[in-house]
Amino acid sequence: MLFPTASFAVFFLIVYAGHRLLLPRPTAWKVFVLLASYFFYGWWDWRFVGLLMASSLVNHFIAVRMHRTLDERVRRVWVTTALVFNLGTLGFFKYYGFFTVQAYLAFARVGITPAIPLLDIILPVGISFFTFQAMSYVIDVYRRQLKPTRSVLDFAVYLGFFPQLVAGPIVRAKVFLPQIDGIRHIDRIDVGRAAALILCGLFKKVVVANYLAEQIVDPVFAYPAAYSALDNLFAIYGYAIQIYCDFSAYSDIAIGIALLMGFHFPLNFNAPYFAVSIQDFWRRWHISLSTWLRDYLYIPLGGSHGSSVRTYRNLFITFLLGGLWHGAAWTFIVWGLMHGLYLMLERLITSWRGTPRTPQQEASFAPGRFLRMVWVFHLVCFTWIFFRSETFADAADMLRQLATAWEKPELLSGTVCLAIIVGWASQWLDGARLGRAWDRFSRWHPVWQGLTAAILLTLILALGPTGVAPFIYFQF
Amino acid sequence: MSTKRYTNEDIGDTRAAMHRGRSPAEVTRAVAVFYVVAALLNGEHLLRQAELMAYGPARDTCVALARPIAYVSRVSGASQLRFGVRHFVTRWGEDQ
Repeated sequence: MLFPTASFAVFFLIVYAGHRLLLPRPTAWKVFVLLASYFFYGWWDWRFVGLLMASSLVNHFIAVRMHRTLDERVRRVWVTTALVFNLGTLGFFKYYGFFTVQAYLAFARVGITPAIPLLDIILPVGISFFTFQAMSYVIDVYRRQLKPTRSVLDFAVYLGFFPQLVAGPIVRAKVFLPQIDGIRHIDRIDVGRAAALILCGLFKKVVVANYLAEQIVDPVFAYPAAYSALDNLFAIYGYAIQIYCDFSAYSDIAIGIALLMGFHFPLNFNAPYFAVSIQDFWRRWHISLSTWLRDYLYIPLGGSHGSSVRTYRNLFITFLLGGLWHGAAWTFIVWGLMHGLYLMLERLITSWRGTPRTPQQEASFAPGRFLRMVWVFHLVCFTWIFFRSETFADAADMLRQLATAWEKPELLSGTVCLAIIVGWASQWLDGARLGRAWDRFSRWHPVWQGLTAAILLTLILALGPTGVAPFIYFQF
Repeated sequence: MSTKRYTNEDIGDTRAAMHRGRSPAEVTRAVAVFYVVAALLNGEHLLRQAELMAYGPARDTCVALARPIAYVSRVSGASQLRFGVRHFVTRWGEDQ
């Protein structure tokens, strides 16, 4: 069930009505929201609802057991069991095929045919997201930063809550669980911000991302050798904007829907292409994943508190796994490693330069800041080539065309350029940049709010291409 | 990778946001108005989408539900907004 469809609109109408009616009865509310979330998830494939339920039961059971014991060794055994269960599930569904093929290829080189069965495994949608949420819960309980929920129902609602279930943001248990308890006492809902997030998200997805995908990105990336340098160049720019508009749209809509129901989720994107360094980029892009990797991988590995070599090693591991998280393919691994390498180089340059610049110093020279922003954008675009290409041969074709095929473009048009500019400018909608406008909208009479939102929705649907493609991050 | 600890405030979600906005009852009213107006403005499109579904009980139900909405949408002229914008976009695309 995709957000910008009639089926989701009907689903949400029923869920919202049930949510409002059952708010005074917490247990009934939780059961209703959980069933609605399972229905939402089961819309793709009913078989995987069992996986979500199993993940809820196992992780909650382990968290409760771990919390009850004071013996550190036993706690360590429980947390290891949880990690093995979660990573094992993720590994089986997401990486089994990839690693089996790699093993076959490696053995084939030395003339051995291994007896590993090749299975055709369907990837359950959103598995990377809910597995990371479950892991953060168990690890937080292990670190004594969080108490396990009183009932498995609370945890199941957290893990399965439909707005963020399939493509994030990765909401931490310590952010979500206290809000379940307080949900019936909510007396104000920031409807202006919720409407803005949902409508801006729909605009980014339905109009910008879908248009760019259809008009230039998909055809050029499918066969880059058939297109000119300019087509290839603008397909890369187009993809950078498409993936931002697609993924941030999902996050925005998810956060907006949760907000309408009274839940506050942290922001997932904060104008990533305004970044002036790669480090800055990762503070703005998929914030819930980068902070997850930082808190549960990079810092436990030692972070930047050891020698330079150790810091580089930690960055390397974090970005290797960050790349692999996105998908079981060498292209994703290389994409992650390239970002890790950029960060290492940035650190190296900073250490040569001496004291790092303060934000005031960074902002003091506007042209320099702009140039750095342009440089970082192009560096990120370059790495997107490997992320989006099916194979390295396709990526090489694209780079070759960029260097040699300077002929008349076939797909590049004024509308494509306009869509890229509009998509880039839509970053102004991130964060609290237009907060005052949403506040003003919040103060309008409910009738005007509903009327305006409906008209804007109709305009968005009319402007976009017919049909809605699935969100890119569903495959991760 | 930065070791800076992010807080909700860092990423734009302030505590103040929890006390901003309207009461849940008013939000429910706004949502209800939104659904009614959106259905009116998109009624004919909903019917077309329902008719494109694969034959079966789900399609029959969707068509049966969408038909009265589409009728009101057509009679009231509300569907003209979407058709007008779509027509403009198509023409503009052709000119490009």
